[in-house]
Order: sequence, then structure tokens, then C-alpha cells
Amino acid sequence: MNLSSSIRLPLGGGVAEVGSAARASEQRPSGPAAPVVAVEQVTLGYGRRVVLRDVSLEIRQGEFWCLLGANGEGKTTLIKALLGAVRPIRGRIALRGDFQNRRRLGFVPQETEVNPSAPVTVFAFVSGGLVGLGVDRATAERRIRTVLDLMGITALRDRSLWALSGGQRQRALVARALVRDPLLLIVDEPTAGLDMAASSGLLEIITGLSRDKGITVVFVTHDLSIAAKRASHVGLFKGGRLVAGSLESTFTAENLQRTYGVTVELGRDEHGLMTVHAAVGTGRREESK
Amino acid sequence: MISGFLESWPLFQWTYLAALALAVALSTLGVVVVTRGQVFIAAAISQASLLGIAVNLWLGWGVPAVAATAFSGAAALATARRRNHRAGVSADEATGWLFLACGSLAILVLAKQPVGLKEVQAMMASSVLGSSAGDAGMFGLLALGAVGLVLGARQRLVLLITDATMAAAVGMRVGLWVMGLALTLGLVTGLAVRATGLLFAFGCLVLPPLIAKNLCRDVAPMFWVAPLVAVVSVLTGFVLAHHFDFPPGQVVVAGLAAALLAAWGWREGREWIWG
Repeated sequence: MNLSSSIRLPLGGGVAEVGSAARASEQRPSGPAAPVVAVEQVTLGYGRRVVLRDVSLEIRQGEFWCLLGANGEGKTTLIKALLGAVRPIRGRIALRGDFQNRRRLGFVPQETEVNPSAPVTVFAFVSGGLVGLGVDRATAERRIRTVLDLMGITALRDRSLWALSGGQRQRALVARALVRDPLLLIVDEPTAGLDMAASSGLLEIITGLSRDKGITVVFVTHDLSIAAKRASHVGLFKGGRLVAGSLESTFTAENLQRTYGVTVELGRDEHGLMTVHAAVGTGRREESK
Repeated sequence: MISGFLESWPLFQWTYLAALALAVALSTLGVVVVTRGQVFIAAAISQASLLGIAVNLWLGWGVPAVAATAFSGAAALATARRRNHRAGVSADEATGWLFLACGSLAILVLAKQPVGLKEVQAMMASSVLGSSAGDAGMFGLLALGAVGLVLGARQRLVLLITDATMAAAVGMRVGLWVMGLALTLGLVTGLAVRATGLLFAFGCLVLPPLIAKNLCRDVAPMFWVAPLVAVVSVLTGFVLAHHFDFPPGQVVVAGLAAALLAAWGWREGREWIWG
């Protein structure tokens, strides 16, 4: 990674800016685009407990990243660090200049952190995504209406968040992220606990945003088939380390076996899309969801 | 009944004004406490300020307000960032320890002293009488500060207290906000306990926001409903206490507790009828 000459360096671990690097690369006629996010030799943890050690990653505009790994391997910790909610113990996370104030960054958590006893309507919940944007009331109203329409939950706008089904609540979470009109969307296991129809609908919306609007997506999931069918890049978490790269080079049977400890067979369907088969324990072969 | 209360105004005006201003400041901050599910933490912070007053009496410092706010501020900071981790000391455990340790030590440090114990016991029972013009002015400033904070940063405040991770994601400096709120809570609670005692301070901190929570459909309007409930309850409590010759602090808190029962009933009824 050749950003060192243009990154504004913080003292110690933290988040830096790669804005000048991005602008410099825009002037270059050839070569790879500057990363939207550059994670450089980052060590993350809570207190004295280290979760990820010396992790490096570069994410570029329009890429669809899937972060994969068993529970507790540090996927959510890494995205919390990207969001600024966890500070690196060592190393540096560099966001491109236009993301520094996080105006065009959207986040969809696995589930809402709102205290379940707090009163919250869907409208108020989604409007929380507008904090810090300084938009006027009319613009806010228009943006909220647009994302509620997009997510198909307009009729629920005055309902309590706690009266919604799991799938509807996930849609509200995505709506809250999209109301910021993001260029980078960070999504943490949004389909966990959803039925197949709700999960598929949500995935289609997120994939469509990436494909049609060029939104960069960082998607944490346990579902290998989502990565196989939708990702352009993957990151595999195991034992505090991260193996990251393009789908073709990284999403291999060997890497997946190292990550999950089970034999994984990869194939292609009639459309040329990658398929995943995991041989579980007894040798029984199961197709991934 | 009301004319009798108005006749007492010249004699108790600073007490009434101080109590009203404290009710506004405490209930506004209480929305943060209740929305974050930290009622127990508020109780522990109140106990810590009482311990501060007891230690001040024991050591003869002569600065009860400073001691109360120092102890409650330290307790608020100690509990502010602690989360329920998978291992180690949980937030609930730490808060429970703080509550019990402060409550028992507040009595123990003065148990063998010739003076002070009765004062601390009276503070636990609470008395809002005896505030000065200076108290009323100081609490008025605190109330204005609390209302100003809500006016200036309501949207940010609501996001922070309902979803801290999202607040960090949109660029808010969550750590600074949490520390600032904890220090403010410690300061206001400490001064309130020193002036009016534990019962009134804790009652105004949590009961009006709990009532507002049951009346409102969103967090944002709670910041207006809770102070309104607090002001109406304090005025009503003072009128009743004056008329029936009861201690006013206890009447206010008992009234708020009854109002919370009614609010729970309203919420249950509303959900039963409209779903």
C-alpha cells in the first residue's frame, strides 16, 4: 500500500485520511483506484483481550465485500473499528477524504441497539440516520419517504419499532442507513434470523444498490452462498488473522476449510455462478443455503 | 387550598423555585437515564452523593456541595462506560456494588460521630424546605443548561442514548458525549441530593421520565413531557402538602409514583384496545 506520503498521520493508532491520496490517484491515468478504506496492520481488541492482530485490507469504490468467519473471530469488531466505535490498539484505519466526516457512510447492524423499553416509531427511528447531515425539514421528510418506499415499509411509518416483525425491523435498519444516501454501506449479518423470503428480499435490495448505484458494500455474513453469488471480494477471519482478496483468489476450498474447519467443495451452476457444498462431520454433503 | 399555598409564597418562595428548577433539570437528564435503561445507575449515583456528604461531615471539610458532586461525579464516570461483557465485572454488578457500598458507608462513617448521623438520615428521608435564593439561582441555571442542551442537540442526544454504535457511525464522538453526560448527571444529582435529599432528587430524576415514556410514542417528545410532568407534580404536591400539613418532598414523590401507576395503566389499556 503506497499511501504513506499522503496520509495525515495520527499520533498512535486511529483513523487517518487518504483524501489527498485519492485525489492524487484520480489524476493518474492508469493503475488501481485509491481505496475507500485502507486498514493497515491493525490490531483490535477490548481491554487486554486482542481479537484481531496485524490485519490489513483495502476496499475500493463499488466493490462488494463479504466478511466471513466463525462466531467470535472478529468480523463485527473490524466493522466497529471502520465505524469508529472501536479504536485500534495498533496500526491505522484510513478512510478516503469524503468519508472522513462520515456523511456518506451507512451502517446496518445485526439488530438495533435501541433499548427495547424505549418508545420509538419507525419514522423517528429512520430519521435518526440523518443526524449530522444538517438537512432541512422538507429534505429530511422527502429522504425518509423515499427510503421507506424503497424498503416497502411506508405503511408502517407510524408504528412502534417493537410492533414490527423481524424482517420488517431489518428493513427499517436498512432504511435508516440508506437515508444518509451512502457511498459506503456496512452491513452486519442483516439476514440472521430472517425467513427465506425476507432474507432474499433484503439481499436483492442491497445487491441492487451495489450494482445499480455503485455503492461500496461491506457485508458480514455466515452464509457462504451469499459470498459465492454476490461478493466481488471476501475476507476470511480465523484465529485473529484475516485473509482478504478477490472472490476468485481468496474464496477457495483450502481457505474455507482453514476458516471453518470443514471440507468445502466449490462448483459452478448453469449461470456460471459459484456454488458451495459443505461436507459436515459424517461426510454428508450439504448445499449451503 | 390554592390561596393558602399562594399566601405561603413570600415565606417559601426560594424553596418552591429551587424545587421547580431542580425538577426541570433532573427530569430532563432523567430522560437520558431512563431511555438508556439506567435507573439503577441513577440510584447508585444518588447514594454516592450521600456518601460524599457523610464523608464531608466526618472529616469536617465544610463543603457539602463539593463533596456531594465529587462523589456522584466519580460514580457517574465509573458507571458510564462499563458494559456487560461476557466475562469480568458486569455493569449491573458494579452498579449494585456501588449502590450498596455507598449506602452502608454513608451511615457507618458517622455511626460513632457525635454529629452528622441525624443529618444524613434526614437526607435519606428528604426535605425540600430551607433552600436559599442562591440555591434557587444555581438550580435555575442548571435547569436552563439542561433545556439548552435539549434545544441545541436533541436529535444527536436521542440517537446517542438510543443507539450509541449508530451515533459513532455517523461521526459523533460518543466517548466524549457519554463522559459529558455522566459528569452533568453527577453534578446535578450531587447538588440536588445536598439540597433536597435522596428521595426527592431520585424521585424527580426517574419518575417523570418513566411517566413520559408511557405517554409518548418517541423519545424526542419525552424531553418536553417529562419536565412538564415534573413541574405539575411539584406544584400539585406543594399545594397538597401545604393544605394537609405533610412533608412536601414525600408528597411530590408519592404523587409521581401514583401518576406512574396511572401511566402504566394507560399504556396497558391503549395496547389492549388499539394493539
